Parts: sequence; C-alpha cells; structure tokens
Amino acid sequence: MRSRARATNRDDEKMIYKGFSVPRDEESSIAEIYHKFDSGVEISFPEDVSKIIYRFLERVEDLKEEFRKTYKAKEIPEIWGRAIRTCKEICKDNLTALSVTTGFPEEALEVYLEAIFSDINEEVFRKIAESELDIEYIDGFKKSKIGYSKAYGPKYVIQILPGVPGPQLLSSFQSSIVKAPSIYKPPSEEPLFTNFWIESLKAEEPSLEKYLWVIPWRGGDEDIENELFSDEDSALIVYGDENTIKDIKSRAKGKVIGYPRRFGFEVIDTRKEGLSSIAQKIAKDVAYFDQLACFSPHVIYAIGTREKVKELSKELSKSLETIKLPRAKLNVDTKSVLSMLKATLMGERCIGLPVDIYCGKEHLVIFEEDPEFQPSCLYRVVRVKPLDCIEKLPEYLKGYKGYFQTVGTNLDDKEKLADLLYPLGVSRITETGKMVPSYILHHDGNQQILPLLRWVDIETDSVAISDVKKKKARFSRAKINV
Amino acid sequence: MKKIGYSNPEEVKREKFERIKRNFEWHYRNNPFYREYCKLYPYISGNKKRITPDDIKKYEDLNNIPLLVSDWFKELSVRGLTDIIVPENLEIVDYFTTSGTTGEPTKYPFDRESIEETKLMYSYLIEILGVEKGDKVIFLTPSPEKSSTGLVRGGYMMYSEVVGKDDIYFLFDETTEPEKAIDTLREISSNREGKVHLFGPPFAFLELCEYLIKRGEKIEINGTAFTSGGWKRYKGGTISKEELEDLISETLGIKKENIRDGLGLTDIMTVLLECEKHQKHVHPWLYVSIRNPEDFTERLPPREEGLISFMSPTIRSYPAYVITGDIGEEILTEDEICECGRVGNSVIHKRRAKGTQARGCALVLEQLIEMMKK
Repeated sequence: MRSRARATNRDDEKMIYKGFSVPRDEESSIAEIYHKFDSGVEISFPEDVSKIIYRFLERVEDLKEEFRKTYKAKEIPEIWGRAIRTCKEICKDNLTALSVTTGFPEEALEVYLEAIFSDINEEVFRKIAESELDIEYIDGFKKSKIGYSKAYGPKYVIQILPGVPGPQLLSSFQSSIVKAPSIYKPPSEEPLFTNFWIESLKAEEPSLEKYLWVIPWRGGDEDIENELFSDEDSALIVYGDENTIKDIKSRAKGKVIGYPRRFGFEVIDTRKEGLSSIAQKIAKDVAYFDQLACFSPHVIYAIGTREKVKELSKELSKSLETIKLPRAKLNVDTKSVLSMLKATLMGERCIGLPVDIYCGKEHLVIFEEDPEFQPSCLYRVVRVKPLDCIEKLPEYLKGYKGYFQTVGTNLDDKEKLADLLYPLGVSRITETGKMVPSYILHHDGNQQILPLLRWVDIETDSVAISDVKKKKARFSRAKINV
Repeated sequence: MKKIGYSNPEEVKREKFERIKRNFEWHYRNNPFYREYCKLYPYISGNKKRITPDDIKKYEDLNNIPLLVSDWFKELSVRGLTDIIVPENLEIVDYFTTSGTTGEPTKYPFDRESIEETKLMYSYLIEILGVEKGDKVIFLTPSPEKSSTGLVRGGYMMYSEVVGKDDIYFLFDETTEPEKAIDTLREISSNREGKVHLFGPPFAFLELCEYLIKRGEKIEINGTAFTSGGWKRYKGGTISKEELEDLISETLGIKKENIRDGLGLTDIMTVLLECEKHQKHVHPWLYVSIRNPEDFTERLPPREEGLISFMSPTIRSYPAYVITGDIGEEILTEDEICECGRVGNSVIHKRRAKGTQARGCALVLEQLIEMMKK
C-alpha cells in the first residue's frame, strides 16, 4: 500500500499507514501487525522482519548489478529533486499523523517541513556530489591521471536513521548515487517520515523501488543484525548516540559511517547590532526542532559588558516567548528534568552564585558567569555566557572536544573563528539565525559520497574500452543525423 | 504500647502534621538560607503563592512547604558550601556522605539530636524486617570503612542498633572472590541460633545466586533478604526484580515474602522498606508524596507518575524537605490500610527521570567491587 498521500484528517476516520516499504513483488508475502499511536493513527509493521531481510540479502547481488546497469549517476540528483515536491505534499497532507509520531505540534511541524524542503533541489544534490568527484567515474572507467579509474559503491548500504525528520533526504542520496541497494531502518518512535520520503522517490521513479527498502527492526536484535552486518562489502550509515555507533562498529564487517550526537553554540558580538535583533535570530536557532538537531545551539557566548550580556539574555527570553513556534509536548521525564534544573539554579541564586534565569512558558534562558561549555537538557533551555575574546573559546570548549558541529555567529572574521575552533570538531560556521541548514556540503567535516566508494585504477596509456564505446555511439548518432 | 505503623490513619496524619509543621517553623525562623529560599520558591514551584509557617493550617497545606531539589545538595558539596544550609548556632557533629557516581559524593550535615532521631526510626524498619537481638546480618558489600555509600553506612547503623556490631559481617571486605564469599556465608549461616539476614544491592545477590547455580549448590538461609540501592547495572541494563526473587528463593532458601526491597531516601538518611505484602511503607512520621513536575505544590493522585518527594521532621541540621529527580507512583494512600495491617501510604520507584544521570548506591558499589577485583 502506498502512503495515503491524500488522506483526510476527519476526527472520525482512522489514519492507517505503512511503517515499511518493499518492492511490489515482495508485498503479498508480508503479514502485517498494527500498532496504535495517539489520535487514531495506526501504523502497520511486518510481522516477520527477518524474513524480509533475508529476502533482501538473497536478492542483493542481482539488485546491485541491476542498479549499476540501469542508472547513470547523473540521473540520481534529478530524481531526488523531483521527489522533494512530492514528499512535501505528502507531509502536508498527513500533518496530523506526523505530528503524532514526531511529537512536534502541527503549527511547528509546518515550519520545520518548510525548512527541510526549501532550498534543496536537483541543483543542490548535484553540487554536493560534484564537489567531491566527477560522478561519471561511478558509471564506468574514465580517464584519470594514472590511466583509467572507476569508483565502485558498496554491495548494499544499511541506514539507521535518527528521530528528527530531514536527514533522510541526503543520506538516501549518498547511498543511491553510488548505486547501492539500501535498507532504511526508521526510528521506532517515528516510522512515518522515512516512509513518506522513500515512497515519494518511488512515486517519481517507479523503477527505483527494488533498490530502496524500508524495514523497521528492533535495534540490537542480534539475529537480524548479525546477518545484515556480516558482509565486508556492505556499508552502514548510522545516526545515533556514540555508544550505539561504537557498538555497531565493533560488530559490523563493512564500513561504518557514524553521525553521533553533536552540539552547536553561538558566538555573538553584542556591540554589532541591536540586542533585540540578535535575540530574535538566536531564538530561531534555539527554537527550531526544540534543540534536538545536531546543529542546535546549547550555549550562547556573548562578547560585551556583563550588563549587555544580561540584557541579551532578557531579550532572548522575550523572543523565545513570542516566537510563533510551539514546543513539542513534553513527557513526564522531560518535564521533571526541566523543573529540577530550574529549581537547582534558583537555589544557586539563593546562595549568591552569579546566575540569573529567565523563564517562559516554553523556555529557560540561563545567564551565568561560568564560561565552561555545558550541554543543554534541550527543549529550549539555553545558557548565555559572557566572553572576553574568542581566543579563550578553545579553553572553555575543550571538555567536549570532538562533539561540536555548527557555530552561529555575527562576527565578520569567520575564518579566524574556524582556525580557532576546527580542532574541537567544529565543521560548520554560519550566520546567527541560520543554524538550520537546508543542506550541508560536509557532514561533521567529512565528505559524504567518497567514503562510500572504492577506486580501481588501471595504469595504462591505452584507450579505455568504455571510452571507445561512447565514441562509437556518438559517431553513429552523428552519421544518422547527417 | 502500640507497634509502630499500626495506628489509626487519622491519628497518624495528625501526628505527622504536627511534627512537620513544628520542624518547618523551626527551620523558617532559625535558618536564614531556607527563609530566603522560601521567598524564591514561588518562582521555582510553579505556584505563585509565598508560604510562611502561618499558612500551614491543615494536612493538605504540607504540600506547600518549599522543597529543596536533591541535585542541589550535590552542587553544594561540590562547591564546599554544605554548611550554608545549617541553621544558625547549631553544632554539627558529623557529615554523612552518599553516592559519588558523578564524582564528588554529597555531604549531609548532622547535629547530635538529629542523629539520635534518625536512629529511632530504625526500630520501625527492624520491626518490618523482623530482625531481633541474637540474629546475624551479612552484608553483601564491603564495610563502611571501605565504602562511604549511604546504603552501607545507613544499613550498618540500622542493623547495629538491634543486633550489635559483632553480629554484622561484610562478605566483600577482604575478598571479592565468590568462592570464599560463599564459604563465609555458609559458615555464618550454619549457626542456627537466631535468624540470618542478608543485605545488599541487587547485583550482589544476582552474582551470588548465579555462582551457586553454576556450582549446583544451595545454602539454606533462615531469615530475610533485603535488597537496596537500585536495579540498574554499572555496565548498563537493569536487573529483573521478579527473576532475582526466584533465584534467591531457589538458591538461598528464603521465602518470597521475606525477600524485601527498599527505596533509599538518601537525602534524609532513611529507606522505605517493603512489608511482607511487598508494599514500600512510608514511616508514620515522614511525608512522602508524588508531585507534579510542573507544580511542586501539587500532589498527584495514586497511580499517576510524578516526582518522588519526601519531608522528614526528625532532622534539624538542614531542611529535610526534598524533591528528587526520580519518577514514582503512589500505590496506597494514607487513608488506606495495607493487607499487612500497617497504615501509611506506599510508593514505588519507577525510574530516574530520563535526561538525568543515573545514580544510586548500588551503581557506586558495583563500580567499587569491580575495581577491587582488578
């Protein structure tokens, strides 16, 4: 069953979705079980996941050969570009269901989806790939500096995806441009977005369906994972916490590309512009995805007098209070963590420690003198710390070296910032208010396509067979046209 | 004289109210820090009303007494500011320290009177466990000299009040080798005068029982098994309570009604003990409740998840009114009588609020014993 792209959201109608996606010729053999979510949303899952996985593994050698023969690498960005619009419509039409599974209110989800889908298109996908290599090398041997070279993708790719929607667009592109059939494991708490995206790709390009399988299984299931991870020619793209990635690396025989949890922060000069203007931009960075994304800021380092930095904290609180982006509904655990933090800080204030807090209905801004970086407990809890000069940042950040990704700043000399911060893991520097990316060129500082490829170089002066075939084909066409 | 815990519910509530109100008044008048804290509390609690002792007029008003966050005691210890919470002109004679899972252990200041009051509550616990003079107690832990956790120190204080120090043994003081530990256990428990009680964290019981099973051996213990310290493992994962009870029953011969778990209220140096019906009873003089995380003054009804909070009127050296980062539920209310015949509410601990760090004496002990093995 295709995703119900045009489902209505009447209260009295059940919303039933598929939480998996397999080629049509596999569908009839799959028995489904249904899981109920809130608000009438029901999602079906395969009863016997291992059976589907074994089918994939049985077919994968043929699928790999077929994928390589059927598609040119240059076609992939075009297909992905078309799927963007389709997926956006599907998500809009099924906003209620997505709101249930992601936990984000519909009003906020609309904004997040706009951020995910805007500014990404065929051109961007092509740019990402071509910034790393001439993608024709993936199709066949081509002249290179040493003779002729070809880049081979893995036999198959397993993708273990995160809870926040969005990364699926680029990570599916990574494995498909190298023409590797892929299994996508969506997060158990949010199985819909991945399926919507893959179904969009299949809707735009039906022949792709054999190479894109969405299979949910319980993470850590040894029987399934031992089978899946046992091929040296496979690759894994894993989003998750560091322990999960470490565990998978210890068990997988193929290459593992891990994208662990990351922290962002901002570096602001309070003298550069009005505090209200800065605060509004920071508020956007903080509020988007409730800080759950890897690029979200946890701490704001602000250059200026103590009074100005405190004033910035107040303005930030005002901006967070008025931003039209409601926070996700919190469970009892998160509510507990937030109130305990607030109470602990109040206690510190009580005994004269230099801390001020500004609470709103859905946020907490903490002004404190202690310059050491501290991760936030998320859900719009942010610390504002005075900073004398940017040269001191490495000292304050070193406790979390390697965990940083994005820095938002209004400083002009971003290169100086980059030189100072790259040893700590920072890989992306952008303007304050723009920490939410539409796309990224390097993920955590690394290339995205090349790590999946293996090169074979033929050291020779003679002409490559594939080049001869291409020239013959061009010559034949020219003769016909005459 | 009535046994503790079997009074009329109304009588228990009346006495509890009087004692806590008196203790609150005392701290409010003599503790400048706490008085200041009460002024800020409306901004913390979620309820805008500022509370003074005159506002505590009826039993339900106890919910409005300003609570200190348990993490905050640790913060004070880390900064060397523990004494800031001590009332004026009160002499501190000892500090109890607890779990150091995150580095620095937490210190709690005690005056002499509070120490004596804390010891009194042990008679209630001992009565629930059925421990008597002449019994022996075997700790599946190192001694208090080697482990500063509240579990060991508190447990030692509790049992030594009844059985005396000479009848308390520490299985992992000199050795961590299971074979030697079992030989020691067998030797002590073979003495048929009086009962033998085992005490320790769940992981220690689990390792002992698993070792006995591996060897195909059993030991017959006539007494109780008291687990405390939490069910999480140091290396990750959780121990199943039901499975452990089965193992203890099978390998140590202890009936399930005598296998009791405890919920440590470390910040007030006590523990809630399970009765023979496996309800964790709140001592008649303590006020333990489940609070709304968004409004600490709101007490949640039974079977609703919230933050565990407790208040003790027996401690004068710091305001022992605490809200923890632990999620729990109330099972029996103060107006109900348990099947065992005791009054007083009962609660269960469900988990540490996710997003906070795991902590607990059992984790620290497991870490310590692992280090001792190396």
